[in-house]
Amino acid sequence: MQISKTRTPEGLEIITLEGEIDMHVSPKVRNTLLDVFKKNVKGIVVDLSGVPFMDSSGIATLVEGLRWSKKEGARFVLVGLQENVGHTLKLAKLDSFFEIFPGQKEALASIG
Amino acid sequence: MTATLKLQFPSDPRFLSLLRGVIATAAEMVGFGAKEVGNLRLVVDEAVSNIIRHSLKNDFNRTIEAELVLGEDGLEVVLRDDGEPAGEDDLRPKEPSPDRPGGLGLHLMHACMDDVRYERLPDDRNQLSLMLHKQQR
Repeated sequence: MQISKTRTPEGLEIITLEGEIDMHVSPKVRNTLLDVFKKNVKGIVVDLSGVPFMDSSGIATLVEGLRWSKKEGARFVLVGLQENVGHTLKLAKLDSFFEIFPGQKEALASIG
Repeated sequence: MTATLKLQFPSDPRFLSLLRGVIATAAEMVGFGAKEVGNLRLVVDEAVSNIIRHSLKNDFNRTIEAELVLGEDGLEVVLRDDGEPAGEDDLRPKEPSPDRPGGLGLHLMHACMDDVRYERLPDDRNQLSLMLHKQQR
């Protein structure tokens, strides 16, 4: 799993994930989100375009991120979901709880 | 084609990726389409993650057995472990909710498979059988 973070001048954090997210990897993703929330961000964009598979541990991690963001008053959006990951979110009946955009450009236009 | 594969692998989450690859190949050999192959990868990943987390209490040094029955009519995956027995509440799928991030695995298993059966075996092991038929989906 490769994780990279970029901060925009507007105070948004873009987290780009690459690789499969399962029980082995999701703690690393969770720690990354926790670090970002400590920095008092205006919004978080999680780019999943490089994630071909995500199980319920990954979904649970994103749900935690969503809950933290609501508590902190920050936006939390997902972008670039591959078909398989979108399908898993739908199966889990949690897709409607997230703000989902096709790509970073659309998400930044909405948040920024 | 009918064939049975028996695997033993460590209860270490690092092996989940490898197991998903085996399941995907077996599902393709049976003749499932991309959606079912994806569902089977997900379900077996969820089942094994649940075994590691709940039955084996995150002990990564145990052994899990998997039996894959590749048949004309579908794929059956049988998982066995020597961990704690599942309680009634553990076996009841929970409606997903953003207020309760855990417990999604069982919901996904029931959503994707034709049959999900748990048994406590006479030798005090757990057995989880997951069946997906080709014709019914």
